[in-house]
Amino acid sequence: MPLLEIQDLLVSYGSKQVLNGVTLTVDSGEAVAIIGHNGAGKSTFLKGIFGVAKATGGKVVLNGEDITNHQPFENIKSGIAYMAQGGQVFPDLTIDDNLRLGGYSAPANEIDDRMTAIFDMFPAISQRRTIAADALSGGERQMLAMGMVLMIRPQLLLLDEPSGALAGNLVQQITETIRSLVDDKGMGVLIVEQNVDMGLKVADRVNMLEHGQVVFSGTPADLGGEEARQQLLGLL
Amino acid sequence: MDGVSVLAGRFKIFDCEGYMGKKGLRFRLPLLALVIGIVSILIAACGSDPTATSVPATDAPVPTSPPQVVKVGTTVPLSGSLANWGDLVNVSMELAFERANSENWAPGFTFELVTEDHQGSAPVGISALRKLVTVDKVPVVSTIFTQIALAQVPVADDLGVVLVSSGVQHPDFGKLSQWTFRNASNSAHNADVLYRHVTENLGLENPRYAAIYHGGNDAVRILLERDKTLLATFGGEMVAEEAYIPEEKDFRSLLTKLKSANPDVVHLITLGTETALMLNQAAEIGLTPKYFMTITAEGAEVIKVAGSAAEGLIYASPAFNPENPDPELQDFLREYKARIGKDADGFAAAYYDGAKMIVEAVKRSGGASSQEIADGMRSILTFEGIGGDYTFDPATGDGWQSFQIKSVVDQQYKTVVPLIAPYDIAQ
Amino acid sequence: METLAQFLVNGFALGGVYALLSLGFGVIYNTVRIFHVLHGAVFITAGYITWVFVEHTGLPLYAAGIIGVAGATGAGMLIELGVYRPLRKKAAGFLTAFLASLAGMFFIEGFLVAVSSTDLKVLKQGPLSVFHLGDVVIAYFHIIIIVVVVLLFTAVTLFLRSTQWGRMIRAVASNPELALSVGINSNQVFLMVFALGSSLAGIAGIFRAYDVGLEPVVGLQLAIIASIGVIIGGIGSLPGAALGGLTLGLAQTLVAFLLSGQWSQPVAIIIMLAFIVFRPYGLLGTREHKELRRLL
Repeated sequence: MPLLEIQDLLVSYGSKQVLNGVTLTVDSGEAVAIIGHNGAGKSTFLKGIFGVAKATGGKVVLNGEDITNHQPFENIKSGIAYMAQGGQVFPDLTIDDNLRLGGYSAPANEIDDRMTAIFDMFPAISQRRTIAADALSGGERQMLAMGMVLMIRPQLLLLDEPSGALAGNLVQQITETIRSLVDDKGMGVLIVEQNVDMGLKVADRVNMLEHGQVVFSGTPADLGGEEARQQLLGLL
Repeated sequence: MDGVSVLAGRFKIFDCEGYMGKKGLRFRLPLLALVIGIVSILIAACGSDPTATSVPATDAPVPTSPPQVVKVGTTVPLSGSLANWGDLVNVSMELAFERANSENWAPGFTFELVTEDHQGSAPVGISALRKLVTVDKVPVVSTIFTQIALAQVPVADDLGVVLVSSGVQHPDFGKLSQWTFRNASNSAHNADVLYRHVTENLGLENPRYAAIYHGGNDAVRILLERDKTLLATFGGEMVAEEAYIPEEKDFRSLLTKLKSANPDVVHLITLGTETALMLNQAAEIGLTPKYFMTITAEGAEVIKVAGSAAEGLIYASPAFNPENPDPELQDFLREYKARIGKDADGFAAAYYDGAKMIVEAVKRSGGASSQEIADGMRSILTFEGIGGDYTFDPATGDGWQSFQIKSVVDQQYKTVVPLIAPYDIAQ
Repeated sequence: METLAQFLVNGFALGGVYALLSLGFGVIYNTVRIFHVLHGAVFITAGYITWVFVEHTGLPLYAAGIIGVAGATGAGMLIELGVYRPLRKKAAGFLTAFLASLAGMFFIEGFLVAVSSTDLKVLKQGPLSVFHLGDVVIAYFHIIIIVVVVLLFTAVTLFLRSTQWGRMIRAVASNPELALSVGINSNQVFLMVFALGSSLAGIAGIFRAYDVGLEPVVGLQLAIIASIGVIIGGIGSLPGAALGGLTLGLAQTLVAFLLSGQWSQPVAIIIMLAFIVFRPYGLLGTREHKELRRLL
């Protein structure tokens, strides 16, 4: 049984149909990337899974249980974490408080341990625990945002453009972090990426979304040689 | 940024966003505050929401065979912040007409009250008056509250309808039109009586006077002018004049300022509620001059709120004496209390008298057209009512009530000078 | 000079009540982003409930006051549950919520007029007890107001800074989408915020009812004062809201002192306009809110 199974997911904003029936699966210990044009419906797809956008049709199944249109707080309890686009943090709150809130749904007695683990993972932010998140650089903010979603130790991690507008070395670091979550912790990761290079590097399987539908599904290797790859990049 | 803002607009799930609209909120708040500010000022100026009392319209001609029904209109506040006044006044008029009908005061005529709500608002008062005249075809209308009555005067003039007030204290009300009549204590005469009292009875020589007044009202300006005339007559000087707005309840700054002028006597041109608070707040800062004012001193729980701070407050009031054994007065007091559960005061008695005068006017002229009622009213030069004695100026139709001077003693209203007949008043 | 000192004392007493009211308004506005005009109704409700208990049951003032604050807290929560939450479910906009709030305010005002007349309700009889400091007269009650305001302000600040509820409230205020993503139930947070803001308004209402009394019409007037306090203090800043309210009280008192009492209401609007034009982020607004300047 796959960790996450999406069947024919439909999402529309008013009269505009954004997702036209997307079907895919994510297993534990697997990273699946979604790539595609701007406006192809990638972000909406994650929101539809997490219950932030309303699914108008289709099914979201987690561990065999239908969780379609469950509220976000219910989904968190079921073990899904969602990191929105753009390194979302609480700008007015300290880094400590941000992480505590990230772990809002986690058992209270484990919060401190989990925070320590996050700081081990991202030493750059551990030095500035009591300053407001507002003061962080873009990269640090992205790390904090990642740290926040990891506070609940999810089974399934939904990441919307974790590479953001980060510099190369940071992209590298994020890629490694995600890979270790998949390989060492056995997490299932569904990742939306604009940065195709990174998407292909981090993912075990790739889905390409166009006009709200999956137009390609396979392993990065299935995309063929450098030529096909360049073609794909050009397309995007 | 793709999803978030779009989503916010479309999905209820982003609870807060429904109200925000990321960019809008930061200028909306001040803008809205401004809008509310303006709206509230308008509301303050116009009274509150309309819920007009409807009276079935009738176009039927007034029956000519006896008894002829005389419809008397009344515009009073039945809603809005002054709502409690409407019933107090209407019950008085009803009692007068019931008695007039059963005792046949004006042979051949019976009287009927038609009420419209003016909500304490001048514009509503005008439409209420128009409705009474054009739809209900009333020849005479009684009204209450200066601001509304003054706004109604030109309309009454246009429509040629008699406008009577038993409560308006504006110094010039009776003089404004051939159609206006009044049986009430005139606030200018009220001031006359008080200045005289200070000089003749309290024995203060050239006292330092100050005035506190609610701003914006032209009756108030006339009164302040009157103060100057009276100072010239009786002596003394005006050391401070301070304005306030009735919505304000913290008068400490005003009173602190007044205290530094060190007045002996303060003329309160104020409403009851504020009076009580002013007396309290003045006592706190040790400002303890003599205060004088109008019958408003008996309103709005002045003693209840001001307690010991109200001691010694002097005021002139119509010479209404509920102790008077006159059977008509005693009947009125009893029935009034039975009907509304409150004791009738000088105002209530004056409205009874005003209604009675309308009956008298109809009786005198033998007809119930506006012109006949006006002529009848004008022919009344003196009138003995249950609320006191009235004297009228035939040239203007303006009249005044006999006064008494009262004071708060041991938390009770006590009469100090029982009767000052109208003819005693300095002109 | 004594007169100036006297005016300062008066201004702090008035400003203290405003500060409490603005603080309550700010707590709600910063989190829920509703122009909560009904805050004024909550404010009056506390005073009226207290008055009813003092007047008709002979309960001692402090006990009636506790019931009054509880009543205000309940009223605030009911308003959220009965008015704002259903509107949010329908994805109603800012203006709809505002108009509903304004309509509600008129309704409550009309209701109070209908059931209890327009008479001023004062929780005491006679003047306040005072003491003299040189020539300056200070009422003990005003000292109580100022002390309570300082204590409440500190308590609210600590509550928001150091408790889990406080973090949740700040989280929703700071980034509502993310709050949703981490699993915070914003409806619960809103309810808490209304309870907190309304209890502050309730305490202010009782202070006002004791000091100068309450009338039904004062609700809207003070809701406006509260919002102006938030604007001049800086939207988003609670110390700003408290400071804004205090500033308004001082300004109104000063204007009544220098010019005339007639100006004390217009001056509040004028100050607000001046802030919107010249210092849109208010006295203590955060950097973020300087955006106001660009928007205007």
